Amino acid sequence: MDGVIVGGWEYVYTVYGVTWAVLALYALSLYLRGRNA
Amino acid sequence: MKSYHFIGVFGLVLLAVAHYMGLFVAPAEAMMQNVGRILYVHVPTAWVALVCYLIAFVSAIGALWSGRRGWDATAEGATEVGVVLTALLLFQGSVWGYPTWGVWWTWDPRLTTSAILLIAFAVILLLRSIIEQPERRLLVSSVATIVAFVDVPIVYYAADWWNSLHQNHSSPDTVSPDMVLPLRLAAFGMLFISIGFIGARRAIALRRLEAEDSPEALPERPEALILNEESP
Repeated sequence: MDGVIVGGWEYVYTVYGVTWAVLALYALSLYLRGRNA
Repeated sequence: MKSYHFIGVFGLVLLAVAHYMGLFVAPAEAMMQNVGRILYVHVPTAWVALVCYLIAFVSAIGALWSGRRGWDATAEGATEVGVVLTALLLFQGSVWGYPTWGVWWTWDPRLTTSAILLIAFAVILLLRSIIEQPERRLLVSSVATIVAFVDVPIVYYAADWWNSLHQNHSSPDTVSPDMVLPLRLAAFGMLFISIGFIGARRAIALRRLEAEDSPEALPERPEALILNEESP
């Protein structure tokens, strides 16, 4: 069918992976800044 | 542990469940197929980023009205979390845009106003870091937050107001029931995580303000003044 996107899992995993990584790194930065404050 | 830690951890669990459903349980979208699964991450990130700016806006008004540092610290926390989420949502949108629109970036009204939002609130964070005097910092950053917030409703309605490439708002009536649950769970998960982040960041800002109020933080007496006291 025209217009249907085939595949694309690499985009999906990139977005989910980067989102979780950013959330984890930001949580770590808050922990470290909170400890040093 | 503080209450915001529990809220954040609860949000993490919700988001993990939502993302599992978004990846492996929800059906593929009719046209986007699996790329449509990015929306379970992107849409909640966008919603909650705007909520963070709303919290910053209300807190900035509270800070200006009362001069209380608690409001100012909340505004600082909400602004920083909003900036992190806005940067994230622009990245997510870009990766989603390439397979669906064929471009990583386009000067679409929704995208452009979102980029302006990121820059405006990042500048406010910069102002907060360079202004040393607490009262002046509160005044300047609160006024700047109120001015920058004007862009939030523009971002929200940009796709409706202009003939935008970006999709209009969806509602539970226009989304398949199989897709509504993971989307809602992800939205609440991201919201609770952000509340946890704002609480933790607010505590850091409060400690900084308390340290600035302490006698050790007061500037030393000018030397000329001491010389005058010693003179006959």
